[in-house]
Amino acid sequence: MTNHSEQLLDLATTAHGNAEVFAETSERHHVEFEANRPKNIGQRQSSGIALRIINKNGRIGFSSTSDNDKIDELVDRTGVLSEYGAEAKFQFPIASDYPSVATSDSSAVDITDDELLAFGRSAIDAILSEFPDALCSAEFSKSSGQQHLINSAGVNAAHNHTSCSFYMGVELIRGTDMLSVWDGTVTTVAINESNLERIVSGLLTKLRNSQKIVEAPSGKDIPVLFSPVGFNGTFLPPLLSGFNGKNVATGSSPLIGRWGEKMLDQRISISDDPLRPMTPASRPMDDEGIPSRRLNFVSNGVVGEPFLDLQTAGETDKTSTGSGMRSINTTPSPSTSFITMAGGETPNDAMFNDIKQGILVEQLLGAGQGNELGGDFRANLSLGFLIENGEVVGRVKDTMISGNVYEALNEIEAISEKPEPVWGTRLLPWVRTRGVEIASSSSPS
Amino acid sequence: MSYQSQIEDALTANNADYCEIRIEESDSTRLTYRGKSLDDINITSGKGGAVRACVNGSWGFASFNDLEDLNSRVKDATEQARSLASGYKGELEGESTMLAEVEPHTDIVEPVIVKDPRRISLQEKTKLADHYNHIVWSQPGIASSDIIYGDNSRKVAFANSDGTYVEQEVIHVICRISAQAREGSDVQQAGFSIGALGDYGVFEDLDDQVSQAAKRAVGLLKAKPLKGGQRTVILDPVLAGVFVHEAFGHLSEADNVYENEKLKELMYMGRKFGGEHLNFTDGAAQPGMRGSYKYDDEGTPAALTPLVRDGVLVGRLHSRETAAKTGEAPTGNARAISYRFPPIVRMTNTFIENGEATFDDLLEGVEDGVYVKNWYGGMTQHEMFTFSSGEAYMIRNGEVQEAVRPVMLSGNLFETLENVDAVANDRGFNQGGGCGKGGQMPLPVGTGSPHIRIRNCLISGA
Repeated sequence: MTNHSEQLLDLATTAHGNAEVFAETSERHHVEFEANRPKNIGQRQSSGIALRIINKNGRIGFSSTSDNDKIDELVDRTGVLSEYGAEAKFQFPIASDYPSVATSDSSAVDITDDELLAFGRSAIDAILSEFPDALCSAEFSKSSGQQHLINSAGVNAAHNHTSCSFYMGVELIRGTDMLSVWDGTVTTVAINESNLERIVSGLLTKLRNSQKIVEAPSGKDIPVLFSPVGFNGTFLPPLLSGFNGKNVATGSSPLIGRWGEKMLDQRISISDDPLRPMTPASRPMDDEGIPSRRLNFVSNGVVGEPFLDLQTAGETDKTSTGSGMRSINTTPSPSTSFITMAGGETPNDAMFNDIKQGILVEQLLGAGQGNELGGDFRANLSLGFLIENGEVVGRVKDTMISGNVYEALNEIEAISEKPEPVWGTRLLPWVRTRGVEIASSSSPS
Repeated sequence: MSYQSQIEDALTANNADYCEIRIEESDSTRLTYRGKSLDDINITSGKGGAVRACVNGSWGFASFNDLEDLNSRVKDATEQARSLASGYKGELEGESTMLAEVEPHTDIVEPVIVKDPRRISLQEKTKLADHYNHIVWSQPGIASSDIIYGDNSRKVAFANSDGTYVEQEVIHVICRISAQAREGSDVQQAGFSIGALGDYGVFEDLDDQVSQAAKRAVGLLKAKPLKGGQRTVILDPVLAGVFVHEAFGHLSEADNVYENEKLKELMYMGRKFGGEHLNFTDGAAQPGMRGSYKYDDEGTPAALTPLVRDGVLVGRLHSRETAAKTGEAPTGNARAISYRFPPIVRMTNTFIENGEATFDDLLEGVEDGVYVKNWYGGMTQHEMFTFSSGEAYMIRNGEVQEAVRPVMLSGNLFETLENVDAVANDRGFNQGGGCGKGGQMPLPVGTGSPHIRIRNCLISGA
């Protein structure tokens, strides 16, 4: 791969002046259980190479291929494309001293199929021993990959990453009621017993709480408690869209002109931390060769800064925040890595206390269909519960939540002390707010 | 791209119960406008392959970019399937490979071409996108715009150990245009998605549609949000197509059912889901749509499968495995988004057949309802589904009145279909959608439906 990259860069630099080559190889191996039994096994080997140039008129050309026989064609093709390409608002960066951050561990890929099969079996048996008519699916995967970035300004950097993931879903059907709960995690080291136990015990709690179906209240001004997974699905997409450099550059972010203003409850602090070691999103630099750094999106309710790649930084007269990420077939675009939200003052197990009547949001169906750019959210509760007098009393169905993130996160009642991992790339607390509207067909509207 | 001898040689080395090989070449052009200027234009080309092998009911799969040494890929996938079949402590003992019979055949399928996007110059494509962007920005009050144009050709050579060899090529064109208006921190957007099989023409002559979308976006800033709750809604053909896809289509996919005894009991043939005006169909054999093809990714010929007739469940969608295990006939619905994935059961083109009512009949007697048009998205989890409109208008006393903010609709298969009380006779089609399942998205699909009316539909506040 390194040879291909360097040859391609030489040819492209000669032809066009400024050029950058991004190459990636990866291998992913998976073992899947379906309907409580092992069903699929396999692997995906992939490799590809992408060329980006800035031509003599300052315009961008980009093309990529996974076909080794076509690498030479990229030089001419990017030249043709650059005649129509966007005006480059940046130059390729020079080499930097990159911070050191641990990103890989061979244990993630050394774990054997037999070990994964045994893990899957024991996780499924733990569910079946309490819910014998459940249907479980489970997927383990392990992957490793290398990325190599090289440009005509002097960057020549490579890094490796590993990951191991476990995902589990459980279905229970009673009459025409179908219950589906799921959870999972991604780590950079091998999955272990304690990862599994955390997921299985969380799933069992959700199944137990779902045994009774109850009516949901409708209206506003009802306390709504978001689990870390529920918070992630409901609030982060509309909130982060305001910080996305693309939306800032086009003028559609509602945060434009409001940086440094307090827009959320003062207990809210949210950061993006690519330098946190051994997360699936850890990286010393972004995919454009800019050193990684921690970004503070919200500090005590005050909005901080957007996340930018080179182009959106140029468009907004700022410098890249090291947030340019890409796949082989796409040009870089701004994206986040490992999102953390600071904990509050309420002990995690006291978040339910003093809720006389409220809703617990765990899993969403159809989030992201609303007007996210404006901060709106709305979704059907695929898994939500009614809380009465501090206790979960049953599952609510046919219930939707909606609201605006800038309102809901200003009507915070409590934030839990300890943030919890979500999908391996988030660390988020439990959050209780009143700024959410509930609509349910199980209650009079 | 003849890979026939290479693939067939590799298959002779196979000793699994069943083995298949796919080799794929693809070329894509994509251009994106964001705000006032072109954001990105690129061409990507791909080549890769996949082997799938089944031993005693367990599947091994391998995908790769390096096409050298197909024989050892076949051997690897087979070995893995065999090792899985021997099971964890022998738990899979007694399992066998069951695949519905499909007559072996050899065929070379030329792509459907109406106006070939590969023959249109980059200059012409960017000029047209630029023109549409100007139309958006000529509307006062626009804060931003997004235009995505893409075309893609995919050639697949497929062979399996039953003796089938098929080469097939499809060309897709897609376009999404949206306009955003902003007032303070209130951002509203309006737009549309379209697509076609082998026809660049779908991207042409859109001036009126673009200008209307820009007007709608600005108008939405003044539109009122609706309070959440239950209402009578009338869905236009585009959104009703999304409705049948989400509310019914996904539960028709037999991979949900074939190993799930409880779900089989609920989704039994002959079950009544609603009135006699409900007639649903899915099929890739419907010619010329984005979900159309001659053979699926297991080499099974496409069909048109009645799902509901006169309100009663009469069919479902299958791969060869789900067909064999439910004792039903294969329907040609096993699809893979690319060589990186194994084929799974998917919809193709999904339809609500015409009823007898007119649009005016649907409006009649609706005192306080909502007319919802155009789509923004949708999702399903078993019997629960949600989908979003791109436009919404109040209906009062049987008349369509002012625009309100777009809404999200939610429902439950077993109740909502009962509440569809009228189906019009004005079927229209939508090909702008892409479906996601099992990490494979966006898969090209089409929908078609007339206007339909749903009583007591749950809509969200906005």
